[in-house]
Amino acid sequence: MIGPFGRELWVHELTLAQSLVEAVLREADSAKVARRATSAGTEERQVVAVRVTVGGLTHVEPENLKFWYEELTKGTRLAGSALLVEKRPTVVRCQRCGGEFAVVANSFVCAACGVADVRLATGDEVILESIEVQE
Amino acid sequence: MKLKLGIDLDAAGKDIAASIRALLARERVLALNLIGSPGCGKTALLEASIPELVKTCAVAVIEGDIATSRDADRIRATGVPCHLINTGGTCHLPPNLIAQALQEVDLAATDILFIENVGNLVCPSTQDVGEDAKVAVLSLPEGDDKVLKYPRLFREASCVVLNKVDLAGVLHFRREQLFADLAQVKHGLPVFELSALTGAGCAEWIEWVRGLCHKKRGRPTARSRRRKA
Repeated sequence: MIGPFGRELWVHELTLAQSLVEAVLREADSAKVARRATSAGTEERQVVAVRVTVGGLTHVEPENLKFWYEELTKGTRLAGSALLVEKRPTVVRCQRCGGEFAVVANSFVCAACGVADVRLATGDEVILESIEVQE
Repeated sequence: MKLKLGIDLDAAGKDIAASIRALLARERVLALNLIGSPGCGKTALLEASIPELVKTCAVAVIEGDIATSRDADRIRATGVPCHLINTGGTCHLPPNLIAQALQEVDLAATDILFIENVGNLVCPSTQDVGEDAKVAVLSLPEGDDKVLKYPRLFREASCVVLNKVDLAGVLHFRREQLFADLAQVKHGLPVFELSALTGAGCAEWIEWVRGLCHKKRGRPTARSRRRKA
């Protein structure tokens, strides 16, 4: 599989950035926000900022994602929009006491029970949280 | 103007994995996804297991490799059908490639489908391909420190195969370190210490696979049905 720069698609953040750009464009082109009224008629609304949250287990590197987002949006209506990536902690639920806690230093051991008998609550998601467009 | 969205950017992959899981449930095929470093012995493990498993179960394999049919050739030499995916450079098997490969697998004549992933401890662990279980394959020469360096794999795995135990005498592999790290990541994970080369310890692993197969398949297996036919 060859990516847009003639390279093989081994960079995960590139693949992810492609889905992200597609999703942002789809939302920005939706009827309710696509255009705004001006004195001369209407114009395309600019996307100002894009917010993404990344779970702690996903292996997604925020700076790498930003780099590819910028590359992919060059020359498109998203050029210049700011991508804000927030890394979220991995949160697990203890199967013994039901307590929830954030994983620190890769320890999945519940402090109360002393055992790593947990289910993932959050941490495996990459979510397009919101986009901000011109008023 | 801010638009709240909450869109899962991996929704497409999750949908494909869910449809694969539904297909395998319908066909009652057990799918095991083998993940481990290049050279840890994933293919050797299959070579050691298949001759035993085929006595009671019908086995098929999907082989993932960046290049060459070397592993696939070895699997085919055991006599079971093997579908090769050459990824060209992609470091894991994504669910869409598995879905495509499944069109070539005779699921009605299969009880156990092994998916041998591309050699890599990182990326395959993040991919749900609709399997019943991920198997983490680790070998002694890789060192005893891998669990905390690649925690996601061991979180996702349903068991660990510790291969090449026949080399214990010449390596400084601290077995207790491995178990301590596993306890920090996932409680109760079965560990099968074996040598795919000598066959030592393989029986317990094979029993584990067979048990999962019977649980998913019920009896009779595709293998025994074919025998009757």
